[in-house]
Amino acid sequence: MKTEDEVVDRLQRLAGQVSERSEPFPGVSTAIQRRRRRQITRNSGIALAGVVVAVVIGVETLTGSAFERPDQATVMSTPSATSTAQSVVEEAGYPGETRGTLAQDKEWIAELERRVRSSETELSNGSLKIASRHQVKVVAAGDLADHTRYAVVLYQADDRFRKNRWHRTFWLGQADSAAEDMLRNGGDDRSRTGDLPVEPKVLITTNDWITDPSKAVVIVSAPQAEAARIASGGSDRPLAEIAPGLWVDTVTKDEYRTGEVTLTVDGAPVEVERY
Amino acid sequence: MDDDADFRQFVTARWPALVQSAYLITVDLGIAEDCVQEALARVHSRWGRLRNDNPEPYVRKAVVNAALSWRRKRRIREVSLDSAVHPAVELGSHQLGEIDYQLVAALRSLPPTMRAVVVLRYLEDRSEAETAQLLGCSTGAVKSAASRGMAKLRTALAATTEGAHR
Repeated sequence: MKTEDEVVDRLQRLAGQVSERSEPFPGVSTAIQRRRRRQITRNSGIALAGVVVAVVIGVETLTGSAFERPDQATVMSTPSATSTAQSVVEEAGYPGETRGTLAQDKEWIAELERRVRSSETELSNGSLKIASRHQVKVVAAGDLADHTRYAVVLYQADDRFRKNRWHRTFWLGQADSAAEDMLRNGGDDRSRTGDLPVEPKVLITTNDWITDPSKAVVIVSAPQAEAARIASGGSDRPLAEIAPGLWVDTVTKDEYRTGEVTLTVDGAPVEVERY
Repeated sequence: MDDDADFRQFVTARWPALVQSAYLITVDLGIAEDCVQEALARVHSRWGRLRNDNPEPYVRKAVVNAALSWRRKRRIREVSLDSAVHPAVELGSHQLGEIDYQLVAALRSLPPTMRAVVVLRYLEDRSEAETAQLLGCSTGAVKSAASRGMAKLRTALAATTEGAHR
């Protein structure tokens, strides 16, 4: 058995190795800007919510209908009960069929659907219930360079508050990973209303557990955007489009560390915060 | 010195130690950097008040909290060493020594809170009382976790070394 001192020495050596390859800037500056933007957005949101509430109360009071149509707002904000999941997906701007280099590998796609169902249930400690793998829709899946396999996945699940709430998730693995080895990366987007998440999302990450910038990739899901570019230092280039509203590409080390993604929405540039 | 220059100097001086601790708790450099960046961004927003006191305890607590809660926020699953391929560690203009994968694997076998206790007690050399205060638990819990954590690390490292020699 190793002595305590030997273990502590090795801990110190490992810690020293990782910090030698880590720089505080520009990462800290970016985090400060991100925090400021979040605060501005939150404050604007609160102010806007106040205005909306005031307007709704005013209109309802004027029309005398505040208590006559209690479910109206809810009905309008959720997908139509008669819409199929497929049409809801397409209406939100996602492709109807799976895209990417693995799109035709039906066996792998079916395995991934099973993987997503079991993994998400496990990760939520059972609080999410995906009725069947058919509630899972693989928007795109494929290989990037010779190191990364990705998938963008939507699914509907029941939770404590809502039935059939839509979720959007990104999955990554090593090149040629079995579906069983794909891991969710970049969190889980879900809307309060249950609608499909359509907010732009940018994930720049690696598929391994010690950050190796030479294997970094970017995934951008923005169903309502027309184009996506990444800029870092002096470079600025378009990202590879996998499907309308979806861009997946490898990135350079500089882009991995400091890249900023800009979308074009209704012809205007919109900068999107990295996840 | 103005606030920004003062803050920048503080960040530059404390960054290596903060990243080291966050890395040993999360066992992922990217996540560790994220945790420290977010903690420092929080500190920056209160820098006017904190700079005149000692900002170190506040920063330490923010980093430990972030390192322990990243799972809840990001919900990324850890990858077992069995299924992970050792990445080529590219270090820019120079190569550092080989990463100690045995130790990484041994660390990953500990629960996150136990890792945090081991880091605070043995790497940062904090007292049981300080560690308990940082983690919001009793000194008894710290004592027990430190002792069990170190024993687990020693056993895991001994086992991997013996395995490698066979």
